[in-house]
This record gives sequence, C-alpha cells and structure tokens, in this order.
Amino acid sequence: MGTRAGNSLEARSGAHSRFLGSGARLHTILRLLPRSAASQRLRELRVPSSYPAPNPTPGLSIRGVRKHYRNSEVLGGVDLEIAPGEVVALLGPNGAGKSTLLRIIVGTVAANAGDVIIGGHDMRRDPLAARAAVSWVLGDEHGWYWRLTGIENLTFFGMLRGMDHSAARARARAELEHQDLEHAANQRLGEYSTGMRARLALARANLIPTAAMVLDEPGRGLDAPANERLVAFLRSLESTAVLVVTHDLEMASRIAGRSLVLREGVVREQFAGGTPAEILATGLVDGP
Amino acid sequence: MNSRLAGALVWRDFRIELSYRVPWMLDAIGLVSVLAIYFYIVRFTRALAPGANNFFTYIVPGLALIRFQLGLGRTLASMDREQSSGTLELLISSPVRAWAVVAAASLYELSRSLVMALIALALGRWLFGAGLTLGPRSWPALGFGLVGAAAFYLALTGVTCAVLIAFKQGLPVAGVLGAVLPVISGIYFSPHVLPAFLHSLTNIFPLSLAVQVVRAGVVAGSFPVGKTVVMLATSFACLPLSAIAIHAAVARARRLGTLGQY
Repeated sequence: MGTRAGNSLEARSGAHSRFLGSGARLHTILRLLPRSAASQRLRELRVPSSYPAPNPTPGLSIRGVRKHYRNSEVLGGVDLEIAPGEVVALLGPNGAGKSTLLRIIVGTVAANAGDVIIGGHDMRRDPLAARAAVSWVLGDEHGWYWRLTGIENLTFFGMLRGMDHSAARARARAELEHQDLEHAANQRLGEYSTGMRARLALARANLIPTAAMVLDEPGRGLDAPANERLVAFLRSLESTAVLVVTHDLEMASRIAGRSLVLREGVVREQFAGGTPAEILATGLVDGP
Repeated sequence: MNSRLAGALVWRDFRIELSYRVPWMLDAIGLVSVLAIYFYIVRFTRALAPGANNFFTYIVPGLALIRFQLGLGRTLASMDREQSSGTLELLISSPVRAWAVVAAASLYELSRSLVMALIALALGRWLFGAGLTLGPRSWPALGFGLVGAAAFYLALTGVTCAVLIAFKQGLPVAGVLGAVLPVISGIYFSPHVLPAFLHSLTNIFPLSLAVQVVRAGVVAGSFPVGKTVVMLATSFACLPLSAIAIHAAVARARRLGTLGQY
C-alpha cells in the first residue's frame, strides 16, 4: 500500500483520474462482488475524478498519447501526470502497451498523437532537452558493454550525458558505492550476476538528477536485501517523477503511491496504493 | 558533434579495444601480409614481362587508403552489435543528436585507419622498397588526400549506419561497398581503363580523387591543387547528406518502434 505518501498522495494524484475513462469494468466487478470486503476497499481506493490538478508543472506529463503499428493499436490515448517525488506503478498484462509507453517517454519510439512533457520539456518540440530530463532503467540484460568494467560502463554513460571523464568517474564511483557495488567496480559486466546488473542499472539511471525516471521491472533478479535497497532508492528520489513498470504486485504496493492498470493500450483503472490482493480483485491484472 | 561526445565514444572504443589486447597487432600483421601479397605478385609478373612499370609503387597508396574501408566495416560491425545488445537504443535516447552519435562512434576507427594508412606507406617504402617519395614535397597532397578520404568515409559510414538502423541490413551493404568502391576508385588500377560512361563518375568521386591526390604526392612528389579542391568539396558535401540519412533512418525506426530491434 502506498506507504510513501499515504493519503495525501491519494489526494494529490486524484486529478489524474479524469484520464482514466469510466472504470466501468471495475463497477461490473464490484457488482459481482456485492458487500464483500474487497469491493468495499476498492471503492475506497479508487481515485475520484473531481480533485483539482495538484501540480501545474509535473515531472512527467503524458497527454492523449496514441500509438499504432500498421493496423494494430498499441496505445489508445494514455493520459498520466506524475508529480516530482511521486512513484507510480504501471501494471498490466503482457502486450498491454507498457514497454511501448516507456519507450515513448524516453524518446526511442515516436507517438502517433499526444504530448509527452518531461520537466516542462516537450518531447516533440524540444526532444534533446526532454531526453536529458529523463533517465531509464532497462528491464533486461541489454544495454551494457560487456567488455567494459562496471565503473567504465557508468563512466561512459555519464560522459554521454555531458560530464567530463573525471567527473563521470567520480560520480560512477559514488553510485557504485550507493548500490553496494564498489567491490565489483573493476569487474567486467560478464562477471556480474543478474542482480548486480540490475543494481548497476539503477546506478546508471541515477548518474545525473533528472525530472523523471522510468524503470522497467527494476526488481527482476534482485535478492531480498537488494529489493529493500531498491525500495529505499526509489523513496529517496524526492524531486523525480518515477514510473515503474512491474508485474510484481507486492513491489508495486510497497513502492508506489499510485498504481495504474494499463490494458489493451488504455489506462483502465488507478488506485492510490492497494494491496496485491485488492489489485488482483479488480480482475484487470493477472496474478503472479 | 561536441568534443565531449566525441571524447566519450573514442574513450569507450579504446577501452573495448584494449580489453581484446591484440587488434592493433593483428591489423599490423594483416597489413604486412597484404603488402607482401602485392609485392610478390609484382615480382612474379615482372618475371613474366620484364621491363614492366613498377606496379607495386603504383598500388601502395591505394592499399593505404583502402584501410578506411576496413574502418568502415569495423564501425558498422560495432554498430550492428550495439543494435543487438540494446546499447544503440540507449545512445539514441541520450540527449545528443543521432548523427552526432554515429559520427563520434566512427572517430576511433577513422583515426586507426589514418594511422594504418601512414604505416602502410612507410612499410611499402622502407620494408618492401616501393619507389615512394615520403619527404616534405609529398606532405601537402598526402595530408589533404587523407583528410578528404577520411571525410568521405565518415559520410559513407553514416549512410551505411542509416541503412543498418532503418533496414537492419548494414553489413550486406558494407560488403557491396567493399566490392564496388575499389573498382571505381582506382585503388588497384587507373579508373581510365573503366568503361567511358563511368569516367564522369570517377572524375568527381571523392575516393577516386583522394587516391589520385595521394598517389600524385607520394609517387611523383606533386600537389594537384585543382583535384584537391574538387575532392575536398565533394567529400565534405557528402557529410550533410549523411546526417540527413541518419536523421531519416532514426525517425523511421522511432515511428516503427524498431530502434531496439535487429
């Protein structure tokens, strides 16, 4: 449940529900489960649509984003606003359009319609500034130079973001320490375990402060202590709007003040917090 | 392209190269072998036709400039790996222009090609005894010729990377270029022996002109100013076209969502 910001976060995120459609499916589910404790709780968790916009310049703002490939529609008009310091979990089954939405945010996929504004920079009008304002944690084994060491990889990506070599190396060292990876700084990526690479990905995303951070399954491959570190890390990003794509409902309920359910390219529902059982009860998310 | 971006990518490529330890040495061994092949071919044909001109002296400048072709192939192979490993997507998502990324990613191999071209000339002259003039009289033509060839290959690398990004077919294109360019550029023989309809192309083709300029410098010790001007103009004119090709390829890949695919 959204322990990070508690009830205030529910209120803060309330305005965004105007993008979410009718929530008709949820009502159907609730009708099928009359008076049950779960349905009562869902009523409480559902974000009402009448709250005013909490922040006029959010860290991440997505408005009416649509994407289709040939004849298949992947995103059918997604709206989402995330305030600085807010962590939002994006849930949904495979093929719901989560990764496509993530790639649209970081600028490697172009939307057919709609706006993506990151830290006040429009991805369409000012793509370089928008891309500079977002960091990205990839959800798989990709995205590394396997012949380079951990610190060399981080140093390179720091330089790519405009730091000179010595500053990038110093920042890389600090982030390695932050992720408890300083002992592996000079090991090549090939010698890293899956969990170590996942932590290194967090270190890379945090090399430079950004207005927004998007993470694709950041908990994959992490052991329990590393999971705790991930939770603490995400909670520490006080001025960054964070969007986490995950299938791990437990993780979502721990880190996110708000959870969105994306299904068939549309945000079907959002909750302020919610336990895994409560989210599962909506029927919009498949169980683990 | 800013110097920090160029520095980042050259530093990365140097570190990766260093991790393999031997590529420069293998490159040098390959270079000596290529020179040796032509040296002995010429020795053999001389025996068949005594009094023939020294073809070995003629061909060494071409063999030097063809090092850029190897550099192009390596850059493209590296870009292909970047595409399949997902780092290309990360590079393109960084706050720099795509053409600048590709240009910066070409710099290490271009620098290596430049050094290997000079080594080829030196080995040809002092190890194999080619009749080259490598003194100060040859320097203007040699310098401008190498700069023109580097600019042309930078542009060509950009175009082939654009094909790789857009159609995932960069390596076959590099293979075709590797077969076609030596024919029309006069690496192994003068373009004058080609069919007449190709002459108008070879007269303005940057690589043909670069080969002719370098050859004039290191074989005859002369500096053909007119050819040099045309070569530099055509070489550098290719650069913006290359940038446009990369921009279009990346825009297409973003539209189709194929930037991370291979």
